[in-house]
Amino acid sequence: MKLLQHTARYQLLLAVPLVLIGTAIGYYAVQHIVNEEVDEQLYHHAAVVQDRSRQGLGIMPNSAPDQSLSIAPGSLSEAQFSDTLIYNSIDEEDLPWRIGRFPIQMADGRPGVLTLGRATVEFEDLIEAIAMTMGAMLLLLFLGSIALNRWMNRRLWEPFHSTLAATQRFQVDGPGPPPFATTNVDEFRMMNDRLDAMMKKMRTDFIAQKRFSEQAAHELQTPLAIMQGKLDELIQHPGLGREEAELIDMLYRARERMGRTVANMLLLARIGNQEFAPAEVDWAALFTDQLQALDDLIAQQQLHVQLKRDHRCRIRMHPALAELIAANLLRNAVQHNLQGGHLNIRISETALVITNSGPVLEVDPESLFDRFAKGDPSSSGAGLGLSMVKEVCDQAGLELQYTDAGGTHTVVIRSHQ
Amino acid sequence: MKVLVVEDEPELLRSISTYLRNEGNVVETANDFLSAMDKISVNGYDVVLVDITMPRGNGLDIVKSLRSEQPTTGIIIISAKGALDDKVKGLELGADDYLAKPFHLPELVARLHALDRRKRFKGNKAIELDELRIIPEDRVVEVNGAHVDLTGTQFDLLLFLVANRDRVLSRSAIVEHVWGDHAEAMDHHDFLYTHVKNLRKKLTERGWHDRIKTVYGIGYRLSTGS
Repeated sequence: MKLLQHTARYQLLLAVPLVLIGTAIGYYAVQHIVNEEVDEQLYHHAAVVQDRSRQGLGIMPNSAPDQSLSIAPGSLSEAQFSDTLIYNSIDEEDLPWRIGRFPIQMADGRPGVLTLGRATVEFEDLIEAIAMTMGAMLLLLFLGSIALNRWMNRRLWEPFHSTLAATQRFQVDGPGPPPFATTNVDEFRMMNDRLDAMMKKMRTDFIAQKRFSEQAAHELQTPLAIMQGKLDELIQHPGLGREEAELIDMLYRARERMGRTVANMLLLARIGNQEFAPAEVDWAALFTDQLQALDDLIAQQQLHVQLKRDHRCRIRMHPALAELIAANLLRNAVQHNLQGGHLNIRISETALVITNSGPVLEVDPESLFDRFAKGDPSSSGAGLGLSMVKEVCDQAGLELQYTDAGGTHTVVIRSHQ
Repeated sequence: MKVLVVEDEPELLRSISTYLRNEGNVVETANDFLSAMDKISVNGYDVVLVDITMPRGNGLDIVKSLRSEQPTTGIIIISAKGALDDKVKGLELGADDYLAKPFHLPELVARLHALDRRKRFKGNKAIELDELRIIPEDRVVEVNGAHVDLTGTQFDLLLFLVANRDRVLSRSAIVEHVWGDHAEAMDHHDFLYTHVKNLRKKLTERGWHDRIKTVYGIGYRLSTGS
């Protein structure tokens, strides 16, 4: 939700109860005033009746339909007022009346009670009209202030949005940080200055790190290349005995593992450096190629392979990384499979799913994504294959899952975009 | 073949040049940018091997100037960087091949052979070895004129052995050449043994005199001497 929507929501949250409460208070206040006014009128009426009674002039009969008058024997020390509903045969409904009871001396000299009534239905309508008008005005006032706020916020936050857009365009491996629009708001200017400094630092760090991994590559690969060259020369010597041959074979294997580890570590660093720009990938073709490269191993293990493409997969990736993912996942699925086992690849619009048979894992399958983690400790791999897949997925914002259900291993790569 | 090796690491330079010389090539060396440029301007070479990172200059500049001045010379980049952009850049500038360090020397020899075939014979050269005849471009193998039906793996294996004839090839070099990165998933010994056995069988069935020798503990060798 956008910032402006957030503020508008809070304003509305405040406005709704305030309008309701304001309208209610208005309603009761006006009703109170009207009641006082009616009571006053009843007092005056009672005074006239009391006077006439005292002078023995008799009671004026009540002629108005919205008024009533009656006198009954009884005693009352002071005036009392109350509201009541009285059935009206014309309207066929109960209507509100205000009733006043006053002490009076009856014509025969005995004390009595004078009861005066006054229909208040026309006042009710008035009160409601006044309350509604108040509510409507309050509501208009609030809506007006929300609109004003939105307009003002949009103007005030404009530099913030332009900075946000500029940071979104920024790429650590691209040219320097984008220039920010100048602003006269202190906070935004400070934010722009800090962001600018951070981006410049990020860029220099990135370049330094990239240079370091390049140097590391050169430093490690060169001695490995020398070892390799010397071994290749050494085995040309005639007269190598069996013992020497076995030692040399060990050296070859050790060198191979070392080379693989170093190469994968550097690749991991490079993936972390985000050096690879995403592009469209024909995943089906890629998996087919990799399956072909693994043909000999698949044939040796007599695996049943199935590649199913429901849709063209929309997951975008740099071609080299896509190949790395396909190669590592398939190699893993083939290498840790069973004789006569199965290997299924399913490609859908937003997911790549690789399922294969294999031994039941004794470790948590997700832990195999950790660097240097191995399901089988005797494996000659460095345990970096799956962590590279993980790294690539993390960088690309893809979800990666590995589950093992009693010997059926499933790796899912899913895009949420 | 006349080969110039440009490499700043003396021991590696020595291994490469010795190995290539023993293959019967004329090998000259340069250990920095300037001496490489000097030699290139004076002599003509069939192939130049260039390391990208070196003192006082970039190997890619050598590739660039070689390509513009001596377009027929083959260029193979050997680089420790292994970076994708280096490979792409190098091939774009006109290098013919790219080999990431560390590499097996037999792999380099195989690449040199392939490059030489492409450059000099436009790929139409058949390799003849007694009763064996290989046309690499068409991936065709004949023994005594009769076609032998080999799988892709068997063909790659044979061509690699032939390119490195009379040399001991380590299992590690063979497996990496044939299966590339997927070599990691293989158990060299049994796996390679099976494939060599099948290759031998197919060739000898057609009357080939088996010249693939097993070198105990290390690998294989294809001998041409009688």
